[in-house]
Amino acid sequence: MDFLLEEGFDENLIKQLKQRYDSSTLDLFILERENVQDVIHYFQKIGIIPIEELLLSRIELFTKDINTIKDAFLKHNIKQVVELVNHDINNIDWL
Amino acid sequence: MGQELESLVTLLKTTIEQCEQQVEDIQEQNHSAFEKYNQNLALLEDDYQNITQISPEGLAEVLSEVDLTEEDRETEFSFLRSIRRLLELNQTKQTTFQLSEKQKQILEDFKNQLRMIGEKNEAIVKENWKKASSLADRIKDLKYLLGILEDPKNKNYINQMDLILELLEQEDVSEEEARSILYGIMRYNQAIQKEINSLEEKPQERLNVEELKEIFASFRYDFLDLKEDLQEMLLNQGKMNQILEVFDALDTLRFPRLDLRRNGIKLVAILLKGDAATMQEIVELASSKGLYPKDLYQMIPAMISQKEDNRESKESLSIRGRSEDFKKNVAFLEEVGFLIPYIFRKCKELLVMPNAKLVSNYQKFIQYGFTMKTDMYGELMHPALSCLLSNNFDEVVDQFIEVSREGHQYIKENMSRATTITSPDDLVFYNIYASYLDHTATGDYIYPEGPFTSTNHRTLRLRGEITRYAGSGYENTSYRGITEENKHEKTMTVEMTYPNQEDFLYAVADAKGREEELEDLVEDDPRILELESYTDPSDPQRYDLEGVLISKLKVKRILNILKNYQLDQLEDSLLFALTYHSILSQEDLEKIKKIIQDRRK
Repeated sequence: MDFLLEEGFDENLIKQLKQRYDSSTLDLFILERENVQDVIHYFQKIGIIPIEELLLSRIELFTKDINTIKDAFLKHNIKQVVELVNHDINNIDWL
Repeated sequence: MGQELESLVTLLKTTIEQCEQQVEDIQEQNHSAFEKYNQNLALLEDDYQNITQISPEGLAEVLSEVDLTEEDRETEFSFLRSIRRLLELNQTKQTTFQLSEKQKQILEDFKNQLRMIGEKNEAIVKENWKKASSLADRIKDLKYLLGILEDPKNKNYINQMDLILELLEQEDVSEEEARSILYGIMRYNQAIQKEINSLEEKPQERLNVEELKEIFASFRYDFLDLKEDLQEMLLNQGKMNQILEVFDALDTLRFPRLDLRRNGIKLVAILLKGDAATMQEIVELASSKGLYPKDLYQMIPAMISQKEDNRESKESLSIRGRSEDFKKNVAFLEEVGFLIPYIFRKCKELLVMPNAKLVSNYQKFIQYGFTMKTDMYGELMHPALSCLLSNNFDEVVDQFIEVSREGHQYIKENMSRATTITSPDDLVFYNIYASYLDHTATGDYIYPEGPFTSTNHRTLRLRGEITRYAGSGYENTSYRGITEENKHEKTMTVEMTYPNQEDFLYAVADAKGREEELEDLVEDDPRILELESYTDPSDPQRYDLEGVLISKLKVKRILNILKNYQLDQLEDSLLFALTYHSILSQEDLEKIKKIIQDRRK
């Protein structure tokens, strides 16, 4: 999962992901690394702050196709969604 | 050997039996045709008087095969019968009748007729022997094939396709059965091929770039489109036969082409770890459930055999095979009512996670009274499904049930917390505990919030500063100054210790994940029955021990483990079960101890 380091995250995040998730989940995450990076970049672009928290809490979000994620955000007021997610990541469940 | 080939084995055995019966029939026929006439001829050649040893029926039978008019046959038969009688009288009554020249000629004619029949039968017998011999060869081939199929150590391919196709053309073999058998043979040969390859391959022989470029080009890919680290992996770890086999399978199974610049890692993973037989099996299963090859690209481990890849890999790409878990998970999730494409869309990780964990988490999920209601969520996410990925589902849910009155409802509405929080000792619970104590005064630690979707459902939310700390790396933003080091001090809670603690904790850790296998020994336990009177009127899943909230399922689970591990004779087991991982003040702990003591009186 070294590609996360390229995105500015640290070893501690990788360690925590390994503690939290089964290797089967992490394998899918690793195999989707390009998509994961696209999702991270998209979140950064629209202003989502707790990306690390989302990675730790909602890893399955990052293995979803980037276009599906963009479509889900576009169906709502992106600014409002971003504010809500920044306030509490569980608001991502409404997407 | 697969089920398909078992039906081939049955077919072979039946056919062998039929062929052997045919040979037996031919032998019998030859015996009667050949031996009988030759024997009769030999008798007469020896001495014409031996005609007495041929019965009148025997004579009639010989004559029936001679080309004569009916009248001539009758005449000859009469002559022969009278000759036979005369000679019989000579032998039994000591008469001395002599045969006339005409009678001798008739006997001579009869001998010639026997010779002719013998010659004619000889041709038939020869033909029969040919048939029998051909049948014997066929039996030999059938038995050889049967031997291959029944030998678990066999290393030979099944390549007797003419023989098999001939077998499958029999009337009683349905088209479906024939197809299934041919598919079974294909898989069998692929397994043999794989075994031979693994024997033949020289260990660690590095492939060269030109070889790989050529192979990639033959499957319309450009090897140099792969990122350098992936090229290196293939060069160092790739095996020529395996790469060819997997490329071929990708083509045959109609996988769409991958963009190597973006998804090269997926192709490399399957080229390094895949095999045609597993890929074919998984594609067939997935297709029957509504998933297609392009979907399987998102679950590469599902297509990698689990049987031969169950060790920790030291390779740089340590993707492990999950084919067996995938098969079991698909069956289990369908059994409990899910459509596989829905699971794939919402949380595909469930399809490749360890099956035992999925089953255990789902059973606990139901036990705790949760539902998979979908109207609480949007189109993208499904937190209730996500929580089945949890490594510590029950202990985290127990803690939510105990840490505040609203906790149970909160976790029901925020189910992914059961995954995102991995320990009942997580700092977030101390934050909730601290804010909950204040809540009676301030009332704002937890609140209902409306969605931004079209549904009108409002769910409980915790204030961000309470949950954000939950292992998320926000170490510098501790809530109320609560940290890992000072959490008991800041919240004025006790660090629980127990007599026999090591034994208790060992038993709980040892039983983790396989509680379902334990014998249920607590259902009628008088302590559990007595505790029922403390059921929280607002939450039947919880005891309210004079204001101290305790998860019922936790107490039952822990007590049951101790009983199964024969640790229940220790008098502190009930205290341990009630307070295991609970966040308690000294006052709360005393209340619980007093309830236990009062019970003993």
